[in-house]
Amino acid sequence: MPLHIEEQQKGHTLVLKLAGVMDYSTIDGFEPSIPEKTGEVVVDFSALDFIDSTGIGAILLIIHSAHEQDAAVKFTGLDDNIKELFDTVGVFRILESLRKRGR
Amino acid sequence: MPETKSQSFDESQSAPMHKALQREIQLARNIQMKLLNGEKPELPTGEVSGISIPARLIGGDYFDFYPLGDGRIRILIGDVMGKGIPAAMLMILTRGAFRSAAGAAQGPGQTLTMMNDAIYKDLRKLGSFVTIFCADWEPATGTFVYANAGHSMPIVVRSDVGTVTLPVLKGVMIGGLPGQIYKEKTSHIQRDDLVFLYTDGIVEAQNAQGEMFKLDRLSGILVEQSRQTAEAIQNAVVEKVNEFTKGLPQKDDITMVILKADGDQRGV
Repeated sequence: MPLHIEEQQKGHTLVLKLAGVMDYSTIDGFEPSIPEKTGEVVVDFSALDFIDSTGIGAILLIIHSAHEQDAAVKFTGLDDNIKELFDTVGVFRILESLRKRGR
Repeated sequence: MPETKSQSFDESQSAPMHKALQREIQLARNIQMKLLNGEKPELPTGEVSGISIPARLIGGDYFDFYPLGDGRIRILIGDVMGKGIPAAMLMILTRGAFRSAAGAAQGPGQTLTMMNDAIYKDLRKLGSFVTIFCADWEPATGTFVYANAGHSMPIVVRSDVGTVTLPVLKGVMIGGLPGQIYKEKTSHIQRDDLVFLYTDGIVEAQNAQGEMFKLDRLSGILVEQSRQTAEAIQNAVVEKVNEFTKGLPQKDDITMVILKADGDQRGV
Protein backbone atom coordinates (compact mmCIF):
# COMPACT_ATOMS: atom_id res chain seq x y z
CA MET A 1 0.00 0.00 0.00
CA PRO A 2 1.47 3.40 -0.92
CA LEU A 3 1.70 6.54 1.17
CA HIS A 4 -0.38 9.56 0.33
CA ILE A 5 0.34 12.93 1.90
CA GLU A 6 -2.33 15.55 1.38
CA GLU A 7 -1.23 19.09 2.12
CA GLN A 8 -3.72 21.82 2.98
CA GLN A 9 -2.70 25.37 3.80
CA LYS A 10 -5.33 27.11 5.94
CA GLY A 11 -4.06 30.61 6.70
CA HIS A 12 -0.89 30.16 8.74
CA THR A 13 -1.68 26.49 9.42
CA LEU A 14 -0.33 23.68 7.26
CA VAL A 15 -2.28 20.42 7.57
CA LEU A 16 -0.45 17.25 6.49
CA LYS A 17 -2.91 14.37 6.21
CA LEU A 18 -1.09 11.06 6.07
CA ALA A 19 -2.84 8.07 4.48
CA GLY A 20 -1.70 4.49 3.85
CA VAL A 21 1.62 3.03 4.92
CA MET A 22 4.54 5.18 6.06
CA ASP A 23 7.50 2.81 6.05
CA TYR A 24 10.84 1.98 4.47
CA SER A 25 9.21 1.06 1.16
CA THR A 26 7.09 4.24 0.79
CA ILE A 27 9.06 7.07 2.39
CA ASP A 28 12.33 7.03 0.45
CA GLY A 29 13.72 10.54 -0.08
CA PHE A 30 10.98 12.30 1.90
CA GLU A 31 11.76 16.00 2.41
CA PRO A 32 9.15 18.08 4.20
CA SER A 33 8.49 21.45 2.63
CA ILE A 34 6.94 23.95 4.97
CA PRO A 35 5.96 27.24 3.33
CA GLU A 36 7.32 30.44 4.84
CA LYS A 37 5.15 32.17 7.45
CA THR A 38 3.59 28.87 8.51
CA GLY A 39 2.85 29.24 12.22
CA GLU A 40 1.52 25.74 12.88
CA VAL A 41 1.90 22.33 11.27
CA VAL A 42 -0.89 19.85 12.02
CA VAL A 43 -0.07 16.23 11.22
CA ASP A 44 -3.23 14.15 10.84
CA PHE A 45 -2.66 10.41 11.38
CA SER A 46 -6.31 9.33 11.22
CA ALA A 47 -5.97 7.63 7.79
CA LEU A 48 -2.52 6.13 8.42
CA ASP A 49 -2.54 2.31 8.53
CA PHE A 50 1.06 1.62 9.54
CA ILE A 51 4.26 3.43 10.47
CA ASP A 52 7.73 1.93 11.05
CA SER A 53 11.02 3.43 12.25
CA THR A 54 11.73 4.99 8.84
CA GLY A 55 8.30 6.63 9.02
CA ILE A 56 9.13 7.94 12.49
CA GLY A 57 12.34 9.36 10.99
CA ALA A 58 10.16 11.29 8.52
CA ILE A 59 7.98 12.60 11.38
CA LEU A 60 11.17 13.81 13.12
CA LEU A 61 12.14 15.65 9.92
CA ILE A 62 8.76 17.42 9.98
CA ILE A 63 9.18 18.30 13.68
CA HIS A 64 12.72 19.66 13.28
CA SER A 65 11.95 21.52 10.02
CA ALA A 66 8.91 23.17 11.63
CA HIS A 67 10.98 24.09 14.70
CA GLU A 68 13.64 25.72 12.50
CA GLN A 69 10.86 27.88 11.02
CA ASP A 70 9.36 28.72 14.43
CA ALA A 71 6.23 26.75 13.60
CA ALA A 72 4.43 24.72 16.27
CA VAL A 73 3.63 21.05 15.56
CA LYS A 74 0.39 19.34 16.55
CA PHE A 75 -0.66 15.70 16.05
CA THR A 76 -4.26 14.60 15.52
CA GLY A 77 -5.93 11.25 14.84
CA LEU A 78 -3.32 9.09 16.61
CA ASP A 79 -4.51 5.58 17.39
CA ASP A 80 -3.36 3.71 20.51
CA ASN A 81 -0.64 1.73 18.66
CA ILE A 82 1.01 4.83 17.20
CA LYS A 83 0.65 6.65 20.55
CA GLU A 84 2.43 3.79 22.33
CA LEU A 85 5.16 3.65 19.69
CA PHE A 86 5.75 7.43 19.80
CA ASP A 87 5.79 7.32 23.59
CA THR A 88 8.36 4.49 23.63
CA VAL A 89 10.82 6.04 21.18
CA GLY A 90 10.44 9.55 22.59
CA VAL A 91 8.60 11.49 19.86
CA PHE A 92 6.30 13.23 22.37
CA ARG A 93 9.28 14.19 24.53
CA ILE A 94 10.95 15.78 21.50
CA LEU A 95 7.80 17.76 20.70
CA GLU A 96 7.50 18.91 24.30
CA SER A 97 11.17 19.82 24.62
CA LEU A 98 11.23 21.85 21.38
CA ARG A 99 7.99 23.59 22.37
CA LYS A 100 9.54 24.68 25.69
CA ARG A 101 12.90 25.54 24.17
CA GLY A 102 11.67 27.79 21.37
CA ARG A 103 14.32 28.78 18.84
CA MET B 1 24.57 5.24 -33.65
CA PRO B 2 26.07 6.75 -30.54
CA GLU B 3 23.00 5.80 -28.44
CA THR B 4 23.33 2.12 -29.39
CA LYS B 5 27.04 2.16 -28.54
CA SER B 6 26.38 3.70 -25.19
CA GLN B 7 23.63 1.16 -24.44
CA SER B 8 25.76 -1.86 -25.31
CA PHE B 9 28.60 -0.43 -23.19
CA ASP B 10 26.27 -0.21 -20.15
CA GLU B 11 24.98 -3.73 -20.67
CA SER B 12 28.46 -5.18 -20.93
CA GLN B 13 29.39 -3.41 -17.69
CA SER B 14 26.29 -4.23 -15.66
CA ALA B 15 26.97 -7.95 -15.05
CA PRO B 16 30.53 -7.48 -13.69
CA MET B 17 29.34 -4.48 -11.68
CA HIS B 18 26.51 -6.50 -10.21
CA LYS B 19 28.94 -9.28 -9.34
CA ALA B 20 31.38 -6.83 -7.73
CA LEU B 21 28.56 -5.24 -5.74
CA GLN B 22 27.35 -8.63 -4.54
CA ARG B 23 30.88 -9.52 -3.47
CA GLU B 24 31.26 -6.23 -1.60
CA ILE B 25 27.93 -6.69 0.20
CA GLN B 26 29.03 -10.19 1.18
CA LEU B 27 32.31 -8.78 2.53
CA ALA B 28 30.39 -6.09 4.41
CA ARG B 29 28.16 -8.82 5.87
CA ASN B 30 31.24 -10.76 7.02
CA ILE B 31 32.60 -7.64 8.73
CA GLN B 32 29.30 -6.97 10.45
CA MET B 33 28.82 -10.57 11.57
CA LYS B 34 32.38 -10.70 12.97
CA LEU B 35 31.90 -7.44 14.87
CA LEU B 36 28.51 -8.49 16.20
CA ASN B 37 29.30 -12.05 17.09
CA GLY B 38 32.65 -11.51 18.75
CA GLU B 39 33.86 -13.21 21.90
CA LYS B 40 31.26 -13.76 24.57
CA PRO B 41 32.58 -12.38 27.85
CA GLU B 42 33.47 -14.95 30.50
CA LEU B 43 31.68 -14.26 33.77
CA PRO B 44 32.51 -15.76 37.18
CA THR B 45 28.77 -16.29 37.67
CA GLY B 46 25.90 -15.96 35.24
CA GLU B 47 25.96 -16.22 31.48
CA VAL B 48 25.19 -14.05 28.47
CA SER B 49 24.31 -14.81 24.90
CA GLY B 50 23.24 -12.75 21.90
CA ILE B 51 22.40 -13.11 18.24
CA SER B 52 21.42 -10.79 15.40
CA ILE B 53 19.70 -12.04 12.26
CA PRO B 54 19.45 -9.36 9.58
CA ALA B 55 16.31 -9.29 7.42
CA ARG B 56 18.55 -8.61 4.42
CA LEU B 57 22.21 -9.47 3.91
CA ILE B 58 23.22 -6.85 6.43
CA GLY B 59 21.20 -4.95 9.00
CA GLY B 60 20.95 -2.11 11.49
CA ASP B 61 20.52 -3.98 14.76
CA TYR B 62 23.35 -4.00 17.24
CA PHE B 63 24.21 -5.64 20.54
CA ASP B 64 27.40 -5.57 22.54
CA PHE B 65 28.99 -6.61 25.83
CA TYR B 66 31.65 -4.54 27.54
CA PRO B 67 33.23 -6.08 30.66
CA LEU B 68 33.95 -3.31 33.18
CA GLY B 69 36.71 -5.26 34.95
CA ASP B 70 35.13 -5.17 38.41
CA GLY B 71 32.69 -8.03 38.02
CA ARG B 72 30.15 -5.87 36.18
CA ILE B 73 29.35 -6.04 32.52
CA ARG B 74 27.88 -3.26 30.38
CA ILE B 75 25.27 -4.56 27.93
CA LEU B 76 23.74 -2.75 25.00
CA ILE B 77 21.05 -3.55 22.45
CA GLY B 78 20.15 -1.08 19.72
CA ASP B 79 18.04 -0.70 16.61
CA VAL B 80 19.05 1.77 13.89
CA MET B 81 16.22 3.37 11.89
CA GLY B 82 15.80 1.87 8.43
CA LYS B 83 17.17 -1.29 6.88
CA GLY B 84 19.94 -2.81 4.80
CA ILE B 85 23.19 -1.05 3.87
CA PRO B 86 22.29 2.48 5.11
CA ALA B 87 21.26 1.10 8.52
CA ALA B 88 24.39 -1.08 8.65
CA MET B 89 26.62 1.97 8.09
CA LEU B 90 24.96 3.75 11.00
CA MET B 91 25.18 0.61 13.11
CA ILE B 92 28.98 0.79 12.77
CA LEU B 93 28.86 4.47 13.77
CA THR B 94 26.79 3.50 16.84
CA ARG B 95 29.22 0.71 17.74
CA GLY B 96 32.17 3.12 17.63
CA ALA B 97 30.29 5.57 19.86
CA PHE B 98 29.46 2.81 22.37
CA ARG B 99 32.99 1.40 22.45
CA SER B 100 34.41 4.90 23.06
CA ALA B 101 31.84 5.81 25.71
CA ALA B 102 31.68 2.46 27.50
CA GLY B 103 35.20 2.66 28.92
CA ALA B 104 34.82 6.24 30.18
CA ALA B 105 31.21 6.49 31.35
CA GLN B 106 30.29 5.84 35.00
CA GLY B 107 27.03 4.10 34.23
CA PRO B 108 24.55 3.23 31.46
CA GLY B 109 22.89 6.67 31.65
CA GLN B 110 26.16 8.48 31.09
CA THR B 111 27.01 5.99 28.32
CA LEU B 112 23.85 6.98 26.43
CA THR B 113 24.45 10.68 27.13
CA MET B 114 28.00 10.43 25.72
CA MET B 115 26.82 8.43 22.71
CA ASN B 116 24.11 10.99 21.93
CA ASP B 117 26.61 13.85 22.31
CA ALA B 118 28.99 12.06 19.93
CA ILE B 119 26.61 11.14 17.10
CA TYR B 120 23.57 13.45 17.47
CA LYS B 121 24.68 15.87 14.74
CA ASP B 122 25.47 13.10 12.25
CA LEU B 123 22.15 11.36 12.86
CA ARG B 124 20.20 14.65 12.61
CA LYS B 125 21.94 15.50 9.33
CA LEU B 126 21.00 12.08 7.99
CA GLY B 127 17.43 12.21 9.34
CA SER B 128 18.07 9.04 11.31
CA PHE B 129 18.04 7.78 14.90
CA VAL B 130 18.89 4.76 17.04
CA THR B 131 16.90 3.29 19.92
CA ILE B 132 19.11 1.78 22.63
CA PHE B 133 18.69 0.00 25.95
CA CYS B 134 21.89 -0.08 28.03
CA ALA B 135 22.49 -1.80 31.38
CA ASP B 136 25.27 -2.52 33.88
CA TRP B 137 24.81 -5.95 35.38
CA GLU B 138 26.72 -7.41 38.30
CA PRO B 139 25.90 -11.12 38.25
CA ALA B 140 27.42 -11.78 41.71
CA THR B 141 25.03 -9.37 43.47
CA GLY B 142 22.22 -9.25 40.92
CA THR B 143 22.41 -5.46 40.68
CA PHE B 144 21.01 -4.31 37.37
CA VAL B 145 21.29 -0.59 36.56
CA TYR B 146 19.73 0.51 33.29
CA ALA B 147 19.03 3.47 31.03
CA ASN B 148 16.83 3.71 27.99
CA ALA B 149 16.94 5.75 24.79
CA GLY B 150 13.60 4.94 23.18
CA HIS B 151 13.90 1.14 23.22
CA SER B 152 11.50 -1.59 24.39
CA MET B 153 11.96 -2.65 28.01
CA PRO B 154 13.45 -6.14 28.51
CA ILE B 155 11.32 -9.11 29.49
CA VAL B 156 12.24 -10.66 32.85
CA VAL B 157 11.13 -14.20 33.64
CA ARG B 158 11.33 -15.31 37.27
CA SER B 159 11.22 -19.03 38.07
CA ASP B 160 7.87 -20.14 39.53
CA VAL B 161 6.40 -16.65 39.02
CA GLY B 162 6.43 -16.05 35.27
CA THR B 163 7.13 -12.69 33.69
CA VAL B 164 7.85 -9.79 36.04
CA THR B 165 8.05 -6.14 35.10
CA LEU B 166 11.09 -3.97 35.62
CA PRO B 167 10.25 -0.38 36.59
CA VAL B 168 9.61 1.31 33.25
CA LEU B 169 12.14 3.90 32.17
CA LYS B 170 11.67 5.94 29.03
CA GLY B 171 13.98 8.32 27.21
CA VAL B 172 14.43 9.99 23.84
CA MET B 173 16.08 7.95 21.08
CA ILE B 174 19.75 8.67 20.27
CA GLY B 175 19.70 11.37 17.58
CA GLY B 176 16.34 12.81 18.73
CA LEU B 177 17.46 15.81 20.80
CA PRO B 178 20.85 17.38 21.59
CA GLY B 179 22.26 17.48 25.12
CA GLN B 180 20.06 14.75 26.56
CA ILE B 181 20.76 13.48 30.07
CA TYR B 182 19.66 9.87 30.38
CA LYS B 183 18.32 8.78 33.77
CA GLU B 184 19.03 5.43 35.38
CA LYS B 185 16.99 2.99 37.41
CA THR B 186 18.26 0.11 39.53
CA SER B 187 16.69 -3.29 39.93
CA HIS B 188 17.82 -6.71 41.12
CA ILE B 189 18.08 -9.83 39.06
CA GLN B 190 17.42 -12.93 41.13
CA ARG B 191 19.17 -16.27 40.86
CA ASP B 192 17.56 -18.23 37.99
CA ASP B 193 16.02 -15.08 36.51
CA LEU B 194 16.11 -14.76 32.78
CA VAL B 195 16.50 -11.28 31.27
CA PHE B 196 15.61 -11.02 27.61
CA LEU B 197 16.52 -7.88 25.63
CA TYR B 198 15.23 -7.70 22.09
CA THR B 199 14.52 -5.59 19.03
CA ASP B 200 10.98 -5.30 17.64
CA GLY B 201 11.81 -7.51 14.63
CA ILE B 202 10.98 -10.53 16.82
CA VAL B 203 7.50 -9.48 17.92
CA GLU B 204 6.73 -8.03 14.48
CA ALA B 205 7.91 -11.12 12.55
CA GLN B 206 5.10 -12.07 10.16
CA ASN B 207 3.78 -15.30 8.72
CA ALA B 208 2.19 -15.79 5.28
CA GLN B 209 -1.22 -14.76 6.68
CA GLY B 210 0.21 -11.41 7.78
CA GLU B 211 -0.10 -12.28 11.50
CA MET B 212 2.60 -11.01 13.84
CA PHE B 213 4.61 -13.14 16.28
CA LYS B 214 3.65 -10.73 19.12
CA LEU B 215 4.86 -10.23 22.66
CA ASP B 216 2.52 -12.81 24.26
CA ARG B 217 3.88 -15.64 22.13
CA LEU B 218 7.47 -14.57 22.88
CA SER B 219 6.77 -14.32 26.64
CA GLY B 220 5.17 -17.79 26.62
CA ILE B 221 8.26 -19.32 25.02
CA LEU B 222 10.55 -17.57 27.52
CA VAL B 223 8.51 -18.82 30.50
CA GLU B 224 8.58 -22.35 29.06
CA GLN B 225 12.34 -22.23 28.41
CA SER B 226 13.48 -20.16 31.39
CA ARG B 227 15.36 -23.01 33.11
CA GLN B 228 17.51 -23.70 30.05
CA THR B 229 20.94 -22.18 29.39
CA ALA B 230 21.12 -18.75 27.72
CA GLU B 231 22.22 -20.29 24.43
CA ALA B 232 19.50 -22.96 24.50
CA ILE B 233 16.87 -20.25 25.12
CA GLN B 234 18.27 -18.24 22.24
CA ASN B 235 18.12 -21.26 19.93
CA ALA B 236 14.57 -22.05 21.03
CA VAL B 237 13.37 -18.49 20.27
CA VAL B 238 15.04 -18.53 16.83
CA GLU B 239 13.49 -21.93 16.10
CA LYS B 240 9.99 -20.81 17.17
CA VAL B 241 10.22 -17.63 15.09
CA ASN B 242 11.34 -19.71 12.08
CA GLU B 243 8.49 -22.19 12.66
CA PHE B 244 6.05 -19.28 12.76
CA THR B 245 7.33 -17.45 9.66
CA LYS B 246 8.09 -20.67 7.74
CA GLY B 247 11.11 -18.99 6.18
CA LEU B 248 9.13 -16.02 4.81
CA PRO B 249 11.56 -13.11 4.26
CA GLN B 250 11.14 -10.66 7.12
CA LYS B 251 10.85 -6.87 6.99
CA ASP B 252 13.00 -6.20 10.04
CA ASP B 253 16.18 -7.49 11.66
CA ILE B 254 15.81 -9.83 14.62
CA THR B 255 18.15 -9.40 17.58
CA MET B 256 18.15 -10.74 21.12
CA VAL B 257 20.41 -10.72 24.17
CA ILE B 258 19.88 -13.19 26.98
CA LEU B 259 21.19 -12.87 30.54
CA LYS B 260 20.94 -15.72 33.01
CA ALA B 261 21.92 -15.01 36.60
CA ASP B 262 23.59 -17.80 38.47
CA GLY B 263 24.72 -16.11 41.70
CA ASP B 264 23.80 -16.73 45.32
CA GLN B 265 22.21 -13.35 45.92
CA ARG B 266 18.45 -13.29 46.30
CA GLY B 267 17.00 -10.21 44.68
CA VAL B 268 14.39 -7.72 45.79
